[in-house]
Amino acid sequence: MITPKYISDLLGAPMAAVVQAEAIAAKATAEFIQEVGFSNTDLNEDGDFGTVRNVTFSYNRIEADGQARMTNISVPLLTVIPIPSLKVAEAEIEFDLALSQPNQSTEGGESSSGSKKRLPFLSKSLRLKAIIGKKAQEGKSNTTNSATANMNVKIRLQQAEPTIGMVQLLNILDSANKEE
Amino acid sequence: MSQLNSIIASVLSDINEAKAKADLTSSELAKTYAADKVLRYFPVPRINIENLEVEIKYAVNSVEEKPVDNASTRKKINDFIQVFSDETSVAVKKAVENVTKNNELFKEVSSVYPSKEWEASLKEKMADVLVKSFRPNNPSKTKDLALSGLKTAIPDLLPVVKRSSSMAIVPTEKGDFQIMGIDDDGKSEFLIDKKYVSEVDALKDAKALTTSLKSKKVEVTSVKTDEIKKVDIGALKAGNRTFNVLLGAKKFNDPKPKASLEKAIGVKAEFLNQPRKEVPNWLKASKPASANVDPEKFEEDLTLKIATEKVISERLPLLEQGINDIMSKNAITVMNVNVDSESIKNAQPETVSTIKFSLSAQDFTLLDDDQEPIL
Repeated sequence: MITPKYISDLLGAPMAAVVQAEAIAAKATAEFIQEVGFSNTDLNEDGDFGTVRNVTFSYNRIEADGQARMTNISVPLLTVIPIPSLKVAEAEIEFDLALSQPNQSTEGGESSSGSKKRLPFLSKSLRLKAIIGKKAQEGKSNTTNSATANMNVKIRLQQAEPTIGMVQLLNILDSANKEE
Repeated sequence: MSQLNSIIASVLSDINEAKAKADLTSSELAKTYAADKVLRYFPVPRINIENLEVEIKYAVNSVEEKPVDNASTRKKINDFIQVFSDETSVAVKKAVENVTKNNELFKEVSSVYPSKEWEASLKEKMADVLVKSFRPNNPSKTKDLALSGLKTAIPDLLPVVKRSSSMAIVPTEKGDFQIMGIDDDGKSEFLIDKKYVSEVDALKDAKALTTSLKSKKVEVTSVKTDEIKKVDIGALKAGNRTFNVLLGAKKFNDPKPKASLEKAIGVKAEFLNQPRKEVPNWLKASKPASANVDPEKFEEDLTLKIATEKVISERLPLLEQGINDIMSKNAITVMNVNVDSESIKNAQPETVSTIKFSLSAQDFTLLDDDQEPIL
């Protein structure tokens, strides 16, 4: 039998999962940058990316006097290949819950996931629990064992504003873009 | 069964808690990112709730008028209690005055008690008890609590007389105690001319005198008349002790004061030696409390308590009525609902209803005075 959980736990779990999933994706991106964009990473101290892996090519450059001169250009590899960076721009979570109403005597209490108590003014308030349920359909009776939902929640999430961290990284790479 | 507002408040609170869980995950990730040499340049994943819609189906169990217990109601109740306490303390004072003026057991305090100050203290004490007894949803319980509270609190303000059928320990206006000889009607016959600081000492002497009376060892040795104080002063020899007694103004001019005092002492001795039979409780209950006083045992005289409790009992229905009136004028309609999915399945279809509400990003953001996000 499924144990009813506090609604905060049921709503919080998918939201936290979105955040965690994005972190996993970011980790993969970070590993890609490190492995593809830099060399000798193992020899360097913590915090140092190692040596930027450049791509060098030569071409005939026409000078002001009309003479062609062989010129070498070196650019960081990361600036010429797309970095696989994924982020969740928007997420939509929808689920149906079958609420269970506690007795007055068991109202309030602690969150199921932690020991933190509710705010003092909420301590005596009602706390509802729920299980994931099946949406009731008009004219159809629920023949399965699943509970019939009486609460529907739709949450649309979006990415919060980016921090300046990524901007800084791009600036570093940009300043490393040089001609030899 | 809960009120609909509690249900919505609970859901809103859970939504906030859910968002806090997501933020907590971001916060923990931030530490991991900071420790990683590449990830430290990445934005820490952080989500905002752009929009949230909730739809809850519930069954209406009942709709009722419920009194609102808010600051405004409390003020009205408090004001009413002050007026009620004021009026009741005046009525109690009047009843107490009536007892102290007419009952000789209290004649030694009747010149100073009850005073205006006493009335003010009574009012204060009464208001305190009534405020503590107030139960917003149960005026009847308020009345019961007030009655028991006042029954406990008011006796502190009443002088205590301990008496047998022939003697009493009476309080004096200075807080001392004196031994009073009383007749069958509770009238003062004599007052022992000694002030006791402690009631226990007075009781000890009163019991000793009673024992001497019973064994007929009390003798009136003399009675003199003090013309200046207009009082007859007698001397009672009880065993090896002598008690001076004041016979009081009404005995003054008695042509034979010694004979009168001897007669009184003789009657008391007689009465104490009469064989006593056990009076059944129903018979005791059929007579006034004063008629059931033990001839030897000193017990608290309840006249003042009974008089005050009578006034309180007569007035408390007015308190209940007044609180009822105030609360009914400040009532709101409350919907008691059931959101338990199983109960809704079995509920009458016409009682099932739905509430929808949505929250936008702004509802999860702290805004400054210009409605700009602070964080």
